[in-house]
Amino acid sequence: MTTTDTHPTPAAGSTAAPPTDPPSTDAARSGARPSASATARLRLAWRQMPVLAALRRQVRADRPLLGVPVAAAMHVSTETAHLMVTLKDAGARLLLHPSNLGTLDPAAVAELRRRAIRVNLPDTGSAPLTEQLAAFRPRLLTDNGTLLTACADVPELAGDLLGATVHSRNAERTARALAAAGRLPVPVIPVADSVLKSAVETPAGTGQSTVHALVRATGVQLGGKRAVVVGYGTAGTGIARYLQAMRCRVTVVDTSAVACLRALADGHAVGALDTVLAEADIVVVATGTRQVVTDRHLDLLPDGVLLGNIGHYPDAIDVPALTRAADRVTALGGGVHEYLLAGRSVFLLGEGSQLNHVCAGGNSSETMDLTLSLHVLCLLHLVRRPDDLVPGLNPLPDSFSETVARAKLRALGHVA
Amino acid sequence: MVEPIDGGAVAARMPVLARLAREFATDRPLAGRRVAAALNVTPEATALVRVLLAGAAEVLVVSSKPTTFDPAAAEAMGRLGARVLPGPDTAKEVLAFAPDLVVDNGSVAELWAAEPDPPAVVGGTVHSQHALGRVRRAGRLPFPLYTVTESAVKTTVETAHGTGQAALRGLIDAGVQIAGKRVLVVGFGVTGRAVADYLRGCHARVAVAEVAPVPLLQAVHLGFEVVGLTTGLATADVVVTVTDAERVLDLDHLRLLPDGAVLGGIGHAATEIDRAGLAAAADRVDPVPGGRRYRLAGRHLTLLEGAGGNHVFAGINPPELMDLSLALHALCLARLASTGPPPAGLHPVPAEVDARVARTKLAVLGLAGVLP
Repeated sequence: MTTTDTHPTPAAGSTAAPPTDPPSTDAARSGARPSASATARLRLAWRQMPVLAALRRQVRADRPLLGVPVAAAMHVSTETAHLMVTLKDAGARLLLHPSNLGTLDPAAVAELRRRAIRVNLPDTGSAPLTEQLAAFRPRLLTDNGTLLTACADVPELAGDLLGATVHSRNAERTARALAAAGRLPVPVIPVADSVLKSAVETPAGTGQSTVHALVRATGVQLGGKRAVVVGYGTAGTGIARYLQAMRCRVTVVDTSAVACLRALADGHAVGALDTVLAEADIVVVATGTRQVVTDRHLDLLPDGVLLGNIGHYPDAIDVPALTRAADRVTALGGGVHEYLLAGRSVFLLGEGSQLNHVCAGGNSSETMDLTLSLHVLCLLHLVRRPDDLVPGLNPLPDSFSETVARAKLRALGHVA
Repeated sequence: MVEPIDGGAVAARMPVLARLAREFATDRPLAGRRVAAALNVTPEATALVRVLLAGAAEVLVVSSKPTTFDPAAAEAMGRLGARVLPGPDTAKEVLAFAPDLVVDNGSVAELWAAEPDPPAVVGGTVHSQHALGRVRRAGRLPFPLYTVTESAVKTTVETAHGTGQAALRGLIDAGVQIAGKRVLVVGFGVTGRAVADYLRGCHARVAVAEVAPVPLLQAVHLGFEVVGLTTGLATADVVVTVTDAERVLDLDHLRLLPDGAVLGGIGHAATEIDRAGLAAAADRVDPVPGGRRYRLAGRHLTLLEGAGGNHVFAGINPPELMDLSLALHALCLARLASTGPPPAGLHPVPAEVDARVARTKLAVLGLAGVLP
């Protein structure tokens, strides 16, 4: 990526920095992607996170985490980099452990390094995580489950820990199991429980990013297409709604009768996976489970179908089975592969991993602003109000979601 | 084959209860149990009573309120074998009945909390947000109640879509052309969201006013315009209030509305819109289709009302949807009778009860095959 920007990063707090120049008309006319500088992209993303930016201004003044070691396990993206920088501005010492090396954003890594925030990459000296944590002695964690598990193996760390925020169901399960076994009796706050995630971030964020990924990766015209959404949880509900808005004919598949009834009432068709695949133009798997589309479905996939997964598990679509069955696999670029199955072409988006991440930029910074801001509020809560918390999972205080929603509304120019 | 009952047209639109009646007649899950059910005495409730009786319960129906008491339904319930108390002053008879199981509108919980030594109750169900409020305020609850009103099926399907459709119907009944109208929806809970969605579906321009930031942010992300209440009122052709609060629109608010505005309440409180204040301040009131037209300081406002002057203009949910929550009641009672009851207090409807109702509904829609 060519760096043309002469203003590497906004001065701390200047989140209202002017956006970068628009693309040249030549680039716009030719359809070529303008060369955006990495830092400019980062700056734009941060500008789209006004709640976190406001928190950052506040903590920069108060320094509520002065000298507190905070270890984080998350995807390394422009958005989480903004969280790290906010924590650093709050005075924290940081260790960031990427939860997935495949999703590392180089611009985010560069920016974090420039700000002397330690990112735990394999090339930076590879002591095992437990040893690194033993040396770092974190007092706070913001975690996908990895750090809690590692800390439980280092008994002397438990006494230091004030607690953790977690951002996945998986991490919640880990926290619950550890607390039940008495192995790491520290308070844990599950940020993913926020109504902001279930009512705004997931349906709007994932709904939009999935539609975006489908269009960007394949150029498909969505109007009139028959789309099958497998799984009608918060993500599936949002995706079905966005596809419906793009004038797809949506059929929902779910193993829960309540979910099917909800889908019907929302105006979608419902059907069994085996029955609806044959008519599908687009299939999006949005379940929280594994092995949803497997070898027994491959004969049912029609020629030309676009197939992708948005769920947590990369094996929700059995890609190895698809590969075994294919006469030929062709990489088409943009995260799309064509599998030739007995004369039929199946287009797999994102190689079975979350297609909105692989084929587009993931959820918008604007929606991620909400839960990342909740992390900050929860980490401060762990420091300030330890007596209000019990070991194991604690409920996310409702008032935090209210506070973040209010700040977001204000930033969007609405009364609140 | 189950005999048709009075209100057959209604019963025909309640297929889930009809199936349950057949299953209960075979399994007799309520055999030997006394069930006291505080219900609106309507044809829909009759379908529930039939299921309870089919399950071999002894049933005492207590009329929930006089405004909804339908004598034909009471007669039908009686013919099926239930005892019906039209009320008021049913306390003594309910206590004397000593029910094992209850369907509560709040009155049973109040009665049991007030009584020094009430008879033991195994448990029951509670059936509306209003009833739930009464139970919570009643104080000590000596038995478990399943909160049917908060179940997934009830909130996400019945309440939302029932009220969404009913609101449209109420407005269209009153002669309002929806398309192109500027509609202000006040309150964005599950129901408010559905009302806003249905109105948008009919091409109204919908704005939302709401006091809580989280639902307001949700409204923004669903593409609704969000406004402050006073701002929204000034330009609204139609106002629908969908809150659980009282005095949401007082006389000062009503004075902000443009000439010709139509407004209606769907919320829980009869005082959500200050009708009394409006009636007192208006210099002229005329009955119009669906409600009354008031002249207030030279402007005309139409305030919609339900049948019999009920503050809810949109009427009750269609029987097809009430079928679902009434089935939840029947299955919760059967569960209490067959398995050990949970501890005293309020409990969410067990997920498998929700699932069974949803599965039955899908089956009657011919969609059983969509589930594994």
